[in-house]
Amino acid sequence: MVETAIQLKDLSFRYHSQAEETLKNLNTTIKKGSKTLVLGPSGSGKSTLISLINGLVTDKDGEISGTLTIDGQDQQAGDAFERSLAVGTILQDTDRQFVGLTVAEDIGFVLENEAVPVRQLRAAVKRMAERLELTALLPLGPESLSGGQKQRVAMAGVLVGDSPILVLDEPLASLDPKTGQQILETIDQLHQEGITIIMVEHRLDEVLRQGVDQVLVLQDGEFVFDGQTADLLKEPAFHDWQLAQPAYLSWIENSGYPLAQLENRQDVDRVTGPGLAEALEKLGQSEAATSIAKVGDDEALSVSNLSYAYGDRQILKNLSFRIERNRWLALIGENGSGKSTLARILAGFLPIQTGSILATDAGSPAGERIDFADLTLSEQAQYVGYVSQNPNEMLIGLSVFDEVATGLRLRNVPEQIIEEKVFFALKKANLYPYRNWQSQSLSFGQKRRLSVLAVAILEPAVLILDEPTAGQDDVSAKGLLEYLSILRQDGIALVTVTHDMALIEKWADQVLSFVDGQLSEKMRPAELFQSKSLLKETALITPSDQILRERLLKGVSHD
Amino acid sequence: MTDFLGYQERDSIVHRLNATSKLLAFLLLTVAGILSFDIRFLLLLTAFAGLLLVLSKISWQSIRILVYLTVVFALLNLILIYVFAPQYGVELYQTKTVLIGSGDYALTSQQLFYELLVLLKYCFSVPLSLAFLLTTQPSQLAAGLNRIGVSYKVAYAFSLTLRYLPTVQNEFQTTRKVQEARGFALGKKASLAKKVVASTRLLLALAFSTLEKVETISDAMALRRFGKKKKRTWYYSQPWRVGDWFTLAVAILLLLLALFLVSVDGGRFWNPFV
Repeated sequence: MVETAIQLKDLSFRYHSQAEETLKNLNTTIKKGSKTLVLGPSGSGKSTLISLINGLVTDKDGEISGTLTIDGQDQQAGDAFERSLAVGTILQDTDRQFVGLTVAEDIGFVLENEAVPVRQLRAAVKRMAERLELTALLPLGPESLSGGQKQRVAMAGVLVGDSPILVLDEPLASLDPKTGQQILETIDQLHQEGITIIMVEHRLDEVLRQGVDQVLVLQDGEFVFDGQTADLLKEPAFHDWQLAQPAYLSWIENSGYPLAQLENRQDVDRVTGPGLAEALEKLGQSEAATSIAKVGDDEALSVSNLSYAYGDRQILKNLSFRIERNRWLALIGENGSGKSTLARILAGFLPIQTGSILATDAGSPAGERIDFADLTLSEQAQYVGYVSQNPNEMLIGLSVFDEVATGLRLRNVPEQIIEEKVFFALKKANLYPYRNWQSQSLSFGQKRRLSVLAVAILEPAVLILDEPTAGQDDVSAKGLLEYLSILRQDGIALVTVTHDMALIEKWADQVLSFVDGQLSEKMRPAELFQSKSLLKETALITPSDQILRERLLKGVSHD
Repeated sequence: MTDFLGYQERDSIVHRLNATSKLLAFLLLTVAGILSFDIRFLLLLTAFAGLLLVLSKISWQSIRILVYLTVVFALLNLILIYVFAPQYGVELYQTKTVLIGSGDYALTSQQLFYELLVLLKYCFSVPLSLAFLLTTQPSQLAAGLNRIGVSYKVAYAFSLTLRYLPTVQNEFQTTRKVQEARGFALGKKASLAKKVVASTRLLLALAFSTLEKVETISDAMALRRFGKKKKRTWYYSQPWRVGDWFTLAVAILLLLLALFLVSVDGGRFWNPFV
């Protein structure tokens, strides 16, 4: 007999501070022991739905109507404490939910709060650490853990409380694809053990590789889809919901092949259809013909013999390369490979220890070169702009307009020109309607876009972005990438430090991969995705369209 | 970045002591040391604090800079005392033995003796604080605070602050660089007024993002039932051993000795000049 874990009946919710309902008439049933994926763009009500389920939002925060039944009990009232007995939650920001000083203490946190005797508490922590392969990490603090390890600690810290339902808010957001797959495997293991999993995640392509039982799509507070993945992927309205289509399906769709004819369309390893290979082969030929587009190669920056060490640890080893105008360069590599260090040296946030960085002065006809060693940070910013991954490091609490305008004002640009430029940029990045808001009240994705604008508005020759798409929904990410590609056309050289395979595949012109502090030759994204060894060394996985290509059109792999 | 004054993991007698007994002993000895101006007692206390530091197996390398700084600061303090109150020792001990010079700035043995006492206060307090701070894991300290009656919420907030300090510090460093790159005057060439304005902005931004962080953290804690019960247990709580009774006893005895000396000497100062 299948039992129900969570049931929503006509569930609506309106925050006291808002006129409109955030959630409207939601109905669904989530079975015990199932794995459910919740999709939907930012602002569709996903966070509110999750907060209602885990009790962070209650009738104190707004008006609830309809019923929410968890584990057979009506959960209208009750606070986060009681709810956490039934529902364990893993927040998106694993760093902030790491509240212990060490892994051991963090895993034991729930039990400490339940005043479980120390001996039992320690035994429980030990068992849980073994279950999730964390034993060796127990005495370590969060600063010495990788993103994937923190994610596993967060899971252990929730599971130790014995909640039968586990809610995960974007578990992959800050992970590279390889680690992401490992975490999905861990989630799958818990699912096998009988835990009900509810997961919010944008990275559909990667989630599908492990499969889910049920998909819910939220759109403006309403469920527009409730069913299985295979049905979701053939929904005609799929694109209207602004979801990220798996790469292999986009490829098939581009070839003009009707998705409705596909069998097993939710599984890249099994998808087939009559005449599919032929259709794809035809598309491949026309792609090859158009992809040799010529782009200028004016040098923007040249790096020679750059080395860098933290104490005894050599991070960068004798790097030399060029960055060119009008080009989009993706810098890839495993966590700790040195790519962020390189980005920070280029931006002037870390000193040049040995080697040199020369910028080409676009203004002078002779192509005069400027040595970064002689520049102050704000002078260097005219050549290289840097956008950090954390928007809180970029924004300083002004209005949206002022955040962008400040850099220009500090360089004495006339106010009239400033207004023109800032409005143009805000419109491009879909932030124009919010121009008078405080930057702090924007959503995470909006803040990310705003922080790009604040730097890009100074029109540096090179713009460096650290994981620009991380934690953003498909629409926001596309909006940002489109804005970036306009900048590139205007002559800016883009450098993105990234794990986002869609970004690398569809947007970048060149890839530089970092392995052990050394750089590979520059290559085209397509070459990277054909090299299994390089993908492995840079913590990426084979993109799903490449998997399909290798299966259907044989002999493409070069490894 | 090395964590300055952070906990150092070692296996030593001092490390193995219960944080509660260590905290209490530290407080008692500090009170005793502040109270007394009896050179015999201060010498004893200094020797004791030195012994603790040696026993705690803290490497000289890790405290070197701090010790140098303290020495410089102590010397400065001693010189300033002499500059502003060259005859304070004479006032205290009611006798005057001039060693060299004349007039107001004549060097007297009484002044030298008084300044020696001030120096000794540095000599006991620095090793004592180091032997306490560097051997006590913050979580154990929080558990210890809780045990002596501090609310566990306050105690946990204390250890949480230590947990997030490095994160906030790193974020601030990057924010600073970003804003400097944007054109805010924070570099060496900027005028003081501009620096103040820009720094204020920066601190406000940091406060905002820290508040936001606190909100997420407190959500995360509530989701894991922090604050549900009146009591909580501590993963890092330590058993109370014989050594802890011993430590506490020594600290109490030393404080009693200090009080006893105050009554015998007829005040906080012991006068060797009569």
